[in-house]
Amino acid sequence: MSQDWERGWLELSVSALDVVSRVETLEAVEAARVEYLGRERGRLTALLRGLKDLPLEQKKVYGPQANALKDAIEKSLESRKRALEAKALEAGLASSRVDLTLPAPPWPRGRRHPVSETMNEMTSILGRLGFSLAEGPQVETDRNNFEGLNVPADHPARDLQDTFYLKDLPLLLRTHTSPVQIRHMEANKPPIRIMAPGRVFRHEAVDASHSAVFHQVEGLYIDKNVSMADLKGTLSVFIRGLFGPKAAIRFRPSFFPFVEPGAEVDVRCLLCAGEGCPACKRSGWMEMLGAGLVHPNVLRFCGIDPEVWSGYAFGVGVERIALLRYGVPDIRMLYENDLRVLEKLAP
Amino acid sequence: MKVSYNWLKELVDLPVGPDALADKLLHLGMEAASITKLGPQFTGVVVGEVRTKEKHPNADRLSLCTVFDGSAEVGVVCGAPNVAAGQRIAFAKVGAVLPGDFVIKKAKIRGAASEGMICSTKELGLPSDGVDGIMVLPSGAPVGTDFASTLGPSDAVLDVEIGPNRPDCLSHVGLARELAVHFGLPLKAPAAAAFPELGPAPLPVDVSDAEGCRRYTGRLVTGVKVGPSPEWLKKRLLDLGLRSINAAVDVTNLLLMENGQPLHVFDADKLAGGRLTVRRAAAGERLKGLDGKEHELTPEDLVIADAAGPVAVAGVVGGVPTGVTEATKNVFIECARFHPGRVRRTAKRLAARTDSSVRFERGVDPAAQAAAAKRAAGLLLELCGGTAGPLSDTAPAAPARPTVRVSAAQVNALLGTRYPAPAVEDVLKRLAADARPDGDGLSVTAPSWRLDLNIAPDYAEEVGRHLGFASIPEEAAPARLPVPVSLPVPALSETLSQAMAGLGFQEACCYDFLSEPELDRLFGASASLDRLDRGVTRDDLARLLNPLSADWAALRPTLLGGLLRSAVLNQNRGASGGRLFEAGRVYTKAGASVCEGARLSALWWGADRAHWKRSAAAPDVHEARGLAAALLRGRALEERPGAATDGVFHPKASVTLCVGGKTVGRLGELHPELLRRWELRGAACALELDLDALAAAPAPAPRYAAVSPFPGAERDLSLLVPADLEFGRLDSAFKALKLEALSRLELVDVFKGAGVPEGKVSWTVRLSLSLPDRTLSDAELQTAAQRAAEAAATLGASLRS
Repeated sequence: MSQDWERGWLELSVSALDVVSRVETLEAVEAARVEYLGRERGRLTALLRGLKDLPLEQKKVYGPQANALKDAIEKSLESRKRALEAKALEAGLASSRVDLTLPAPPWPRGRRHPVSETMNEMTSILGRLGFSLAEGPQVETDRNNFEGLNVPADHPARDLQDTFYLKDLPLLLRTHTSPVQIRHMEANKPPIRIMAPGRVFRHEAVDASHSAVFHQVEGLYIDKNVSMADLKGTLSVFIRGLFGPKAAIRFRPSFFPFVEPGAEVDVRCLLCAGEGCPACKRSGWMEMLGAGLVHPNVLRFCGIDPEVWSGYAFGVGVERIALLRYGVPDIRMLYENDLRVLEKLAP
Repeated sequence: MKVSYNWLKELVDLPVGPDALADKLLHLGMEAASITKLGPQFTGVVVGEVRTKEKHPNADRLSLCTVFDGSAEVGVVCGAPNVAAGQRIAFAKVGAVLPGDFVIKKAKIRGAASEGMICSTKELGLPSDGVDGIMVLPSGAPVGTDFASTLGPSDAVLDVEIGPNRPDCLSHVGLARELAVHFGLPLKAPAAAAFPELGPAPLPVDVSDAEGCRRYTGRLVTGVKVGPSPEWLKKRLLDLGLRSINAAVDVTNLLLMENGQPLHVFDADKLAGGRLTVRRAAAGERLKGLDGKEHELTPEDLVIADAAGPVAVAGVVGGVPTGVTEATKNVFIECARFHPGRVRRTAKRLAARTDSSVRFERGVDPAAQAAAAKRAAGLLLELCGGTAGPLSDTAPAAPARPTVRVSAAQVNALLGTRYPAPAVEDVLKRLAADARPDGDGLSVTAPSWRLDLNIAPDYAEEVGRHLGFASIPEEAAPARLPVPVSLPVPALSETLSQAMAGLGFQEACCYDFLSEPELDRLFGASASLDRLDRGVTRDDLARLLNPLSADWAALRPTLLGGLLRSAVLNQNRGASGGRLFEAGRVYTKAGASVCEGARLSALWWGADRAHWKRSAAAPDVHEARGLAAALLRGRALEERPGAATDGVFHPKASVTLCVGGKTVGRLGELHPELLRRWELRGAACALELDLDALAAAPAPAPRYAAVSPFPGAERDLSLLVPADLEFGRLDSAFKALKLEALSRLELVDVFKGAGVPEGKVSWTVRLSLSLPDRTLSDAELQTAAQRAAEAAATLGASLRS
């Protein structure tokens, strides 16, 4: 009996690991497992089962050896299995075919309108400069749109802003975002630092560079000892934030009834960098916004003492900048909503 | 305003040429929109004589000429057919510069040396003489003289944009005065000739409307002979774009351009009744104006009237019957000052903005009338002869101008500059001759013509202008910042717009106006449109008094109109579908005001473009509901069926959205009839949100909620249900079971067809079950599924085997 066992053991201990390490298919791995370790007929299983019938001395010698062989076979089978599986996967991947020239299905992603995109960038820069958002209605009173802004009835400055009036109502469509100044100053005490982005309306013929509906971003700062130099500093930062660190501005005297002194602010031509090109009418500069120190009459109108407080205000047109940023040749295209145009604009 | 450079230079000795002047003016706040060069724009051209002419040996059409230029004879190749020996011609010598910066150089043309050019009118930039070839000068033209000088001086006309605050610069003297201040040079204002006042006294003038007429001066010049103007006067007017009428009228136009004071001349013999009245027009009075229009007047208008009626609309236009013609013997000169606002209103209403009305409405120098009237009479006497009478004047004393104390400290505080006091005071003294020391600054009184100088900041601007805005430094923004306040509606609008773009929608930007046909298409047969917060009838629409065109009749009561217009535009340009949204305002009349509302609306139409990875699907209400759920995630959104009281939405396939019982929006498929009216093909869905209502509705702040660490399980129930069963009833039945473990209920499949009996539909409902404190046992899962199936059975549903 013990001799049979020993013969069986000898054969197995010599060959089993060798056989197992050489299996070449996953099926062969399984077959080898059944042959040696199968629960019913596994050859090593049978030997392990026979251990109990061996004399004690032999049991002590062969017991650990047989169990060690079992562990070794299991390990070897596992490692072969993993190796063969990896090989099979690799072969599968190698033979797989993906046509990457097929058109990918589009994930629907929309875009913001170039005007919103531009306006958001402006308000984001101003927001970082400490301006908080303010807003007002688009249908306004003469009082807020003109009178409070130092443009009394029949003032020739009204020609600068041709106006849409409402039928049967003493109201108009605001010609600028400046009435928000009046509303805000009447409702709040200085110091004030606000920005008011929004839609404005001018009664003028629509063409490639003029729209009767457009957008402005208004800025207003009221505090003690505010000067033109503060205005220039803030606008310089704003414009460089918008157009890049190399952008430069210049101030020219100009007239807006609600500021004194008033300035037209030019930006060095963004297309020719000041060399002179058709876009800047060969001047090297582009007219970009109007600004100035808030007129004492405006402060007084809003109940703010101009002897104590001073401030600046500015207003930037959004469309002109959007046209420049995106190279759109005609302002009307911004209001047509042709998807073929819009889908190419804005990030 | 058109400005002649030469004329300006007569008034102040400008140290700069026309182009540099334009740049100066720009930095003084007056932009020259254009510069037109007049007269000869060339140098180095002399009167020459062609001594000989031979055919060019190597070219059929060219001639070899010798030209005497006054000092030497040179050989010239000429291509003109009309060149001949003995002619006096315009000869461009070597070194001459012709228009377009064309410099004449020595040249060899087909082997022959050519030292100069015989010029045509075109080459010299002169008006065409109709001759094909060179310009042939009169035989008496003195050889060797500079040709340009024989044509009169060259000039440049600048079209300068003068702001409404600077009427004092609306004339040559005014602009010269500004430049004299700027350069610190004397102004050489033209003086009126002295003349004896021997003629009769002027017509008496009654000013019955003293508010409208602040000052009226008049003078008679009798025994005149009105002929055409002399050439110099005609040319001066012509260069500025004015037509010469006759010497008397031209004098008034010249002086308007000279000093900005409008004048009018009447034929005194045609003024009825021997006296004039300045009064309001009577309703219905008419006047045939010198502008060629028949004006119907109202009591709003100020007129100069004689016994027979109005003879001029004050400050705007004179009348034809009393105008001065070449037959006029006696002239009445009017030089007045009218109320700016009154002139403005009348000129606007009569659509007669004249050179005169523009100046009156902006404000003329109140002290200038007497002097201007005198200069006019002097010129008239000079050109037309006659005898001048004395001046009548209703208000000889000009109103006082305010005196302001201005210091360098004040100016520097406003501008943020560090100008030394002498520099500031120098500018102030140039501005106001009578500036006197006052404390640490000067006491300055604005000159009578500077109506815009009233307060210290006005003077600060002047100092900045003359010293240059470029000298204002850039200061860092002060750091003291108010606490930023967030506005709920704009913040919500921005968040949702960003989300809509992420969800595949293109943001649109539409005009705020709708046309009548568009309103017809929106309203259809419906009396009222739903604005979400109110109904809008056609009477409630806010309409424009002065629309630009019929397309802009009314302010939009909904954003859908613009989106539909845009969709149709895209359809007509070949798009099979699209997704658009807009956030903006809607408007409705509300009593004496307009109620604005903040809205976000979306429109999507047509099928997705077919793609190999997915099949095209038409938009439907379920997709719209899903969109709203994604967009408004986190809000307790309630759906109420139907949103189509106004015929905009499909009566069944639409939903009203509420939060906390308040309507915040509506969505669904658009009404087929509405799509037919707009001619939008295929299905279309829309979403409308009332951002005001939504911003006011409670939006629970996101909070942490515990998730179960124990695995959950899912059980699918395949049910055969009656085809008319609403899912909501099944959903309610399941929820009524109050199964503690039920965390989610989904409808994962709907099937009709093979294997499903007539009148039934197959639904697969997935129950997700989990507990916070332990894993569910198989028995518990089984029981839950069992109870759900029983609940379904009460609605006529049976489990599919």
